[in-house]
Amino acid sequence: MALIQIFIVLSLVFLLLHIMPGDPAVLALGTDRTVDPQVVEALRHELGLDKPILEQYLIYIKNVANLNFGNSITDKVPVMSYIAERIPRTIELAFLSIIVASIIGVVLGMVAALERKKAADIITTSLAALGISLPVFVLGTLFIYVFSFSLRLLPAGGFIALSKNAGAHYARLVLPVATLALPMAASIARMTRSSMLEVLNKEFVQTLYAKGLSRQKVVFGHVLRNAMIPIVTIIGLQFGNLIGGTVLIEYLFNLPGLCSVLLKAISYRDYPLIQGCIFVMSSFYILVNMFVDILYGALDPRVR
Amino acid sequence: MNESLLQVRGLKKYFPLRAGMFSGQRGQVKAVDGVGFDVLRGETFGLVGESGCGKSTVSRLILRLCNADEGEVIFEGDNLLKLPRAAMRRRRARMQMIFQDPFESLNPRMTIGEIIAAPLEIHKTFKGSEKEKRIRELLELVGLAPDYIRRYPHEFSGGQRQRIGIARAIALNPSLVICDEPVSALDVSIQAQILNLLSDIQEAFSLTYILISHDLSVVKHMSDRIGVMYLGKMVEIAGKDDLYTDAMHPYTQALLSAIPEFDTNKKKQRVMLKGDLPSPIDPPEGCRFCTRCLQAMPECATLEPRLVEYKKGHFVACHLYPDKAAGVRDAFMRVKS
Amino acid sequence: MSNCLLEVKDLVTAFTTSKGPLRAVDGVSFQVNSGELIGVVGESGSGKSLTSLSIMGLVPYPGKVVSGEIFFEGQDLLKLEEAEMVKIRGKNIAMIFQDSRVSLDPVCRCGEQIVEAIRTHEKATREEARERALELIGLVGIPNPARCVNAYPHELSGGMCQRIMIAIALSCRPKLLIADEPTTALDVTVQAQILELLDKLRHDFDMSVILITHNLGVVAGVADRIAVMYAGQIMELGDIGEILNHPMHPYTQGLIKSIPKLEVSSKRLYSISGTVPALDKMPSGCRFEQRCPEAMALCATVLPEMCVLSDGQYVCCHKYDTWRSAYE
Repeated sequence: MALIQIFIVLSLVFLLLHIMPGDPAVLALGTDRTVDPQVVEALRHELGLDKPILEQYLIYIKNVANLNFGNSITDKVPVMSYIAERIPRTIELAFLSIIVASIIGVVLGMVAALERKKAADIITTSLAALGISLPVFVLGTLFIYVFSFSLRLLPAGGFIALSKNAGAHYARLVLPVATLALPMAASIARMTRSSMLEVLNKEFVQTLYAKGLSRQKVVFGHVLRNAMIPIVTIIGLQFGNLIGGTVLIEYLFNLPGLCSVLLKAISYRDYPLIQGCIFVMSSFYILVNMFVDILYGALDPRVR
Repeated sequence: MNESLLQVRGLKKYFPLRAGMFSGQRGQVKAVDGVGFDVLRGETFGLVGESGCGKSTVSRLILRLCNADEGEVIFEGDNLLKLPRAAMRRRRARMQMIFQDPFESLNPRMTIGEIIAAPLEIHKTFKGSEKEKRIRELLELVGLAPDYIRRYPHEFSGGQRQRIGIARAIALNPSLVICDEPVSALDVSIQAQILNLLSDIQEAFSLTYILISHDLSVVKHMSDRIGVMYLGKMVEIAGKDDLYTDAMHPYTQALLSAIPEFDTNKKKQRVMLKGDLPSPIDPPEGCRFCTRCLQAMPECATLEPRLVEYKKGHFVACHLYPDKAAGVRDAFMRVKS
Repeated sequence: MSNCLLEVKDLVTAFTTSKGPLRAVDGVSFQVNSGELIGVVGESGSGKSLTSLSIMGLVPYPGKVVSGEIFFEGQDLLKLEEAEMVKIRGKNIAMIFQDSRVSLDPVCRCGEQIVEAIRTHEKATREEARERALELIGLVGIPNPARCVNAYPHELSGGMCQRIMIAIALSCRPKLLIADEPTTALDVTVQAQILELLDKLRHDFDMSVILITHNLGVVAGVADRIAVMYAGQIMELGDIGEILNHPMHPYTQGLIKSIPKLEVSSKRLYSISGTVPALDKMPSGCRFEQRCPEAMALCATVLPEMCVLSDGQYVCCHKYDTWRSAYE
């Protein structure tokens, strides 16, 4: 099932790229108009762009099946090694922010649900509404301004490899992770709150209390697990989106991740690189969804 | 009185059961599996059975709210299942339904007047001021103040809403009204009011009722004849007194004795059934009831009993009564030949 | 009556609303003796379920017990802290609910839910508790206990789920079992099985049962005494046979007459006119006054008091005011 999904995505990407105006050979040779048409033709031939489109498609599918995306048109580096260098950074960013977002979101959502209509609930829900409506770049700029420029607590961005200096590496991740995590935490908190409230109103909760269970045992032992499915869904969706959705953050905090590669590749019509990036991103998305489906089954026997 | 208004013959409805989009059919739920009965003009025909026996599906098949797989439904001379759509729509005006849940069967965004007017508009029977007069008349008929015409369903109690449902059902002067559990969502004191209203209206408009209920005392009170269903099959049909004094099918006997006895002085010996209803996905072969039957015989597990007229007007589908049934039939044949 | 297990005195439970408190249970008093099965009968809105939740200390928000006393083995439950109440709930007083299929945790195996109940109140290892769970499942008449332990609630029928609920309730040998409409969601044949099971178990376990139902027929076969509730108050209380055969309160009389009976065939049913008054529009006098065929001038203004008719028979109606003075 997952393979079929990836196949469809890749075919669509191929089709779209070839519909898109702009010749990669021309773009690779520079944008000035005086390029010799013969040189362009030679490059097109080298890249296989002069073949009929169906043949190009077949070659492309064959290569993808072997996980071979060829070389980048612009800087001749193999696409896979390009991506391999960049993707750990993006994945690290995504993982850290989703973990932070889930912890903050679920805890706040639970507090809000249990303290319904009291101060804690009202504060959390209004903060969550604010968090969802605040654009990422505003939040990011705000963080940089407050923590880097005014308070001088944290570096404003850049990247230092983990192997070189672990402290500096993580220090540079704090702001981007916080910027990504807070809006996600807000929507996770809202989902947790409504899901928890729904489960708390179910009749079996009354049975649990009637059995003599304490509030903690009822909430942590039963209600949370029953409320988990919508929460897991939203976390999964957001995690999947993160892999392709960190463009602004990478740009804002000057992080060399996967999204900045994709951005560059698109502007140069670097077909192999675009295809490689999209392949990685969609595979990741589909993998996350598969994992979420498996989790459903583990959480709720009725889904199995 | 003895003329049939509705004849149901060999009605079948199987619901396919699929595991996923690509996997094939995993089995089928035999919701209604060869049900036949007659409803006479002016009578109340009660349909009883436990949940999952297919009694509600039968009513939906009769009204063609879902399509039957097999069988005939002959209503006022026409086979409804073969009628073209337009003709069926016109015919629907003659048969109406009252639903169980008065809280969910009324559109909360429409006023009472609009709800009752809807059938009148669809079938274009009344226009303008005449329509409003008709609605007020109907409201009065079901015991509600005519001024309620502009109110919304949420302003009414369960009993009042059921009255609105009844007004809507009789708006087009139908000949057949199917009442699907009309009082099960109501309190006892309200239940009596609604049952009385149903009887009054039946008398006033010479209606024919099919009353579907799991409550045997309600069915007994209202019906002239009763059909008992079990797992998609009709197991017994008889006149009400006949059924209650001389139940023949072991399931009917168990059902009757399971009714909570009201009189404490008379603690009767209950025929207690073992176990639960088997799943209608793979119903037992042979007699459907054989897994729970206290009098099951070896042939019950393999041979499916047919519904036969054991004595006049009393049909039963059970191997306990084959001889006599065959005997009666033989005698009948002898007389004929 | 000496062996009184539970005594409810003048219980008032109200919902706080913007219109002020709505007294859904208003001055209910009754007692439950050990080993007896008392039926509490009433229509929806009569306050019967809220009475039982008040006993359990589980009145849902925004409801609250306003006043009254609930003595269980001499101890006033309303004065206990939540931490102490937790030890009584499920251990000494257990409760089962109407729709068992939604009253069990859907993502938790049935056996596990029984084990949890046992281990909440007793020091038992997981294995011991499992052993006992298996035993209990057999006890409540489930044919294949070993399979049922590992089943999830959605894999079982409604009747089986109700048996699991009963097993959970019995797991710590409670002295009092409150059954709130335990058979309403079930089919007639299964209903009969569950009622018989409850009746058998109360003798085996020597416990008292409060059986709450809207169906007089359900209690008729099994109860020793019944309390008839209407609009938050008890209208009549006493021996079941007495009440069913000689109901004294006009409401009880009407209720009994309005049930279609198998033996009698009459074309029209008796029906009580009107509907239960809304909580915020409760009359100051007798709550049944508007629907009562025998209402007197006094009934509209003065709330009748519970009066003793004979030993153990109580009725709350002005018709019997003269009887009371005579008895006293």
